[in-house]
Amino acid sequence: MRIRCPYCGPRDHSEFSYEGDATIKRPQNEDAKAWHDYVYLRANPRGRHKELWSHVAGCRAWVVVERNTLTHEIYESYLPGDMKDD
Amino acid sequence: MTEPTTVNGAVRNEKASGVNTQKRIKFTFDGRQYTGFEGDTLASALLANDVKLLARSFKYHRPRGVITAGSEEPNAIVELGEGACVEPNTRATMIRLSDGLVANSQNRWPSLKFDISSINNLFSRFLVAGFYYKTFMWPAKAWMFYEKIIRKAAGLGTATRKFDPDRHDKLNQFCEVLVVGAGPAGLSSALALAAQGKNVIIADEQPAPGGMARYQSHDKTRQWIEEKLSQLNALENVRILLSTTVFGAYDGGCYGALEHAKQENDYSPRLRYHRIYAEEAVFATGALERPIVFGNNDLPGVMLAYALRAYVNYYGVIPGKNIVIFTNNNSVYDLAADLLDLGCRVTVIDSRADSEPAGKIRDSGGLVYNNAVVADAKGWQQIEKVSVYQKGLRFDQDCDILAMSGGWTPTVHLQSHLGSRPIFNDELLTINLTELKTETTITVGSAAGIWDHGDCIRSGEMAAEGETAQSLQSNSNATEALYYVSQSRNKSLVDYQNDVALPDIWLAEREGYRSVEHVKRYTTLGMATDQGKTANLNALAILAQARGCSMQQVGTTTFRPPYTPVAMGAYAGRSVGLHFSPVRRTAIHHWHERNGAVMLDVGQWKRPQYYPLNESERLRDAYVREMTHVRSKVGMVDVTTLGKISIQGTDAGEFVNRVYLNRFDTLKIGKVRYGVMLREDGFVFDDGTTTRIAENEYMMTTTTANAASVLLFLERLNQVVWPELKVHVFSVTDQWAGIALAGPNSRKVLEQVVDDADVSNDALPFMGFLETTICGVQARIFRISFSGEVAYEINVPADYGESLWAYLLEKGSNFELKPYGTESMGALRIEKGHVVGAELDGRTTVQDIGFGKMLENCKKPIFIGQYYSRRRLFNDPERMQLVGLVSTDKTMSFKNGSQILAEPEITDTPVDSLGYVTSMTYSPERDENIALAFISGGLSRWEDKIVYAHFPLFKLTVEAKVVSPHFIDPQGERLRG
Amino acid sequence: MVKLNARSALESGYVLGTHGARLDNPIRLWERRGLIMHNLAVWDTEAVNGLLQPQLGIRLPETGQSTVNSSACVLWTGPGRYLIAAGEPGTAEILSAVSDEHCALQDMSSARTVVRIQGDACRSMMAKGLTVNIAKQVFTTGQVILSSFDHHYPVIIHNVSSDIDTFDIYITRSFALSFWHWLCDSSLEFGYQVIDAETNG
Repeated sequence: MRIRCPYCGPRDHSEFSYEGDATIKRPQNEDAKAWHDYVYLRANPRGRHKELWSHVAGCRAWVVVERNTLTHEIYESYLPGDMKDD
Repeated sequence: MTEPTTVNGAVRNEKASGVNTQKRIKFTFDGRQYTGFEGDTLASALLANDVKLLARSFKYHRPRGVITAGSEEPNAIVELGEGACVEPNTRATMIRLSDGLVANSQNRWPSLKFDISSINNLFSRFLVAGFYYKTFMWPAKAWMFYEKIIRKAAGLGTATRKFDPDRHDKLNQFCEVLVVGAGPAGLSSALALAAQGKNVIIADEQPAPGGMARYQSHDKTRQWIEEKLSQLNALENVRILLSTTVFGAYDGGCYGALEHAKQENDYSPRLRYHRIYAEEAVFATGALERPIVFGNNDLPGVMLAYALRAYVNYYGVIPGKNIVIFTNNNSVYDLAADLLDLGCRVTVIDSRADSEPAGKIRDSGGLVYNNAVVADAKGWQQIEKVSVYQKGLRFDQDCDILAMSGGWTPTVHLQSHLGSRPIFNDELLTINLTELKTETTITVGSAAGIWDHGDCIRSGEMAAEGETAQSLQSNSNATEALYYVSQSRNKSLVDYQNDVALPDIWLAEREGYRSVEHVKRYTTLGMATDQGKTANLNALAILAQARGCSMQQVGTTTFRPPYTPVAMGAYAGRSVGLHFSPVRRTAIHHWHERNGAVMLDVGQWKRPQYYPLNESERLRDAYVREMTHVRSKVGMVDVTTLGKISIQGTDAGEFVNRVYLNRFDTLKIGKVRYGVMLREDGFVFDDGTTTRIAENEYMMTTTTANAASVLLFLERLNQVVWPELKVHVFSVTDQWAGIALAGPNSRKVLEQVVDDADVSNDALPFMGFLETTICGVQARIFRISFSGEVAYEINVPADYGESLWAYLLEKGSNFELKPYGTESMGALRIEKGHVVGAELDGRTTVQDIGFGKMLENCKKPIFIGQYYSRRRLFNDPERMQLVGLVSTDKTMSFKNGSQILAEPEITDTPVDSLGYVTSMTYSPERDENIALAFISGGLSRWEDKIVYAHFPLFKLTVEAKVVSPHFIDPQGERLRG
Repeated sequence: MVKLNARSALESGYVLGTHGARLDNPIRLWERRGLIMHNLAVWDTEAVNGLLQPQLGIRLPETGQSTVNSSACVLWTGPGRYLIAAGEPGTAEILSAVSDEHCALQDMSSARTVVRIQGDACRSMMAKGLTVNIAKQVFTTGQVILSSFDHHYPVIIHNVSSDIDTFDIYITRSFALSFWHWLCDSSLEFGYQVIDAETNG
């Protein structure tokens, strides 16, 4: 599988470390539900998924990858700062 | 030795295009020597030497011979080579002859001709599909007896246990288009794509290009192939990989290919595993001919029609004089013509009412019977005659070779790997891909159901334009449906390699295993090393008929990589022996080795475990000696492997403050602080010391084991969670060599080496830091202590590490400075009750390890673990908390992982333990065996009480008194001296 | 004053001479010792260029590139991150003039071992362990690749070629000897020649 690092270009997936859901946001308050969801709850979508990978064997940039969990097709990848909220 | 002559009719055809009759090659099969030619396969050479019996079948041990001329061979499976180089289960049709080649048949005893296990054939009625689910049930105790016999009887070849002496290697390649298959369609596609300027790799599993076209006798075809090859060779943007099987198609345009490499020199690999990254692919993978299922269709001498053609025209072997051809399509008639030209007697048994090309054959002296089938082949260990059934009548015909053709099946494995499911097409009368084109792949030639030579070439050219050749698909061979012969009286094989016969499929269906996936697994059809290449379609048709439904309704099973077997050595490549795993060495490594240190693997690192005084000193004694020396004099240990992370930037302080539980915003320049890092779920993640090097620069240490994960964690916080903080983190583990100098004399030694810094207790107090020089080299001195003695950690740039180590020893000799290893280092910290990974195993909290005050005092608004660290449940007094244990019996030492109970005996299981032992050692200072442990209720409940540490697996029980985990100098007076 | 000696991580494996297949054009390998290397983290590229240009006569490179002059070379090594490798001792002082506000500097002279390889077979040899396209048309002079060999050895590869294919491989020091073994083994089938180490600084 190939993942395109925004800096280094397309690279083999073995250069990356998978870190999970990219849409989770660290709560800015003490809301119990927000913290519970942040630490413990993850959606498990069938289909398009935004996930975080770190280019550990390369430039060590964190990359958001939009990938289909069913077909493994990779749609796009970009830096976390460029992620738009759905 | 047997010369290739006209022995029993086996003659070499002089017009053959694939062998070099000028170069003879000697080889041995089953202990007998034979001669072949350069270009021969083991199969063709044996056929030329009139050896038809090559193997015994898997279950029934039926005599078997060569059936194909390619990688789909299910029968002629032999053991290649000897000793450490032996390769079992190798197809004779794919073994190129080389001088001195040795091969042996398998799965037979005592010999191929007289195999005792062929008795299985007599009992075949009881050994049908799935017999093992219904037998060997009673008595249950006898199973262990049956098991040994079955184990010996099962399997085909035997693998060696010796180390593989050959080199195998890997290679990563990139291209714009990968063309799989160098037959007519593949060659023309590659040329057309190359002409567009595309970067192309073309691969073929055979050692010469041309595919099936090589097996024709027409000179024009041979010239065409040679022409295309030389055109491709001349192009810089084309790479040709021959003897290279593209065995798997994976996500993202990655393909795995296995090459049987040319031996250019002594260091060439034998196998080369290519990872090919292709933007697009053209699958010109061709088609495979099907056998027909009839009685004894596995007798040696029965083979596929294209294979006979290959042996005759390409390898120049004429294995018989009296040939019968059994067919349901037109593709065999060229073969018939070729054989008549060579003076053979030819009889064609054609199942169809009408065959257009038959006329020419009859005119040339051959016989053609229409509306006829071969019901049974007959003969002892090889074919002698066939029993033909035509319009209600049977008659026998002598023959020494029977060539059969049941039609052609496109090879669509790679497409299947990528998720395409082929489906049976009633017009083409074979399977077909629903889509010839996907986003990045296109299928051409016979793999797309195109049979005419010119059409195949055309389809390849069209692919270069991105067009599929759907319009060229046809049943141009006029195939008519005939999958099995109902008039057969003998066993009819469907899957040769796994010995699956016709009744097995009917049996599966009768017993309710009706889905194609169930039939496959119940009968094991298609599960052998050939993945059922010559069996699947026939089985599909037989199943459809048994179920009374259409072929489309039955469906197909999934093909998975590899297309053909890949040796484990190829996957391993050169990652064996020295290269199995990388080794990380500190700058001081070679000094340790030269001075007799016993080295320990710590992850990828090598660390000195202890330095034995002499050959006889054991670990037990060495670590006690070393740690005693540290506590009484001074020792030094190489601590380079600890993670060191540099955190720089105007927001560095805020960043560090958020990462740790305890406060770091008050840390002054030149000061070091111990920090505990939590996870967001509130449990302890890691600990270490962080030093403020300068205004906006901090250096954080981590445990060796967590160095990588802490760095990753910090980078994530930096780039994803708090990108607004102006901070930069990166590893400096390799920049600095680290030496810990510890013991009452450590300051005296340090004073000897630093250039002109004041390292007195006032100038450099406990948890202080200063930057200075040693012999002009930059040095950082951290006054921290893992051992509990006065200690200094000295960092110098790694290039100077070994030199500094030797210099320290020289300058420290007056104070008896000696090195110590990780074993004594670990024992020292246990005496002090310092926690490490054994205690911070991901299940423990700050309260558990005795740092509850850190959390109580924490008023920070933002820090990792801020929410969940405050769980009420973490204050539960029942939680297991850190304590110390002292063995009441001086001769008994603890075992890590022991479970703690209040009782000396375990009388009833299961039983809940109160806790467990995490670390243990002998304490020379207390002359006692001690341990660190977690126990429910902690010190407040158990101090001074007696508990028992049980390790039932070793039948060990140690009586212990619970004490403070700080076994020596609990006030830390020595540290601060 | 007593001197502390700088030692190479490759010492025990550095065997001079020709090894492997006896072919016409062996790969030449040698260590580049004594390079002064710094890690530079930058928050304001323009501000830093404003300081580097007059002091060192060099600008920060673009992503995946390098900038080189007679005394120093600057390699891009990540988002906002650079490796400055210099042969001259004075460079360290010049670099320390760079401001804290816009960037952060860190001496990394011991953190990596630098091996230079040269020859026509270099790309084929490296392709054994790199899952990155290093074909002539794609990996050109001046470019920098951050990747790992054989999934294990983290490297920075700088294409320094002009006439003959030449590459500098910066390997994390603790892995260096292990990597050197891998490099030499990979080069056996092409033949390789280990020549005297280059000393700098």
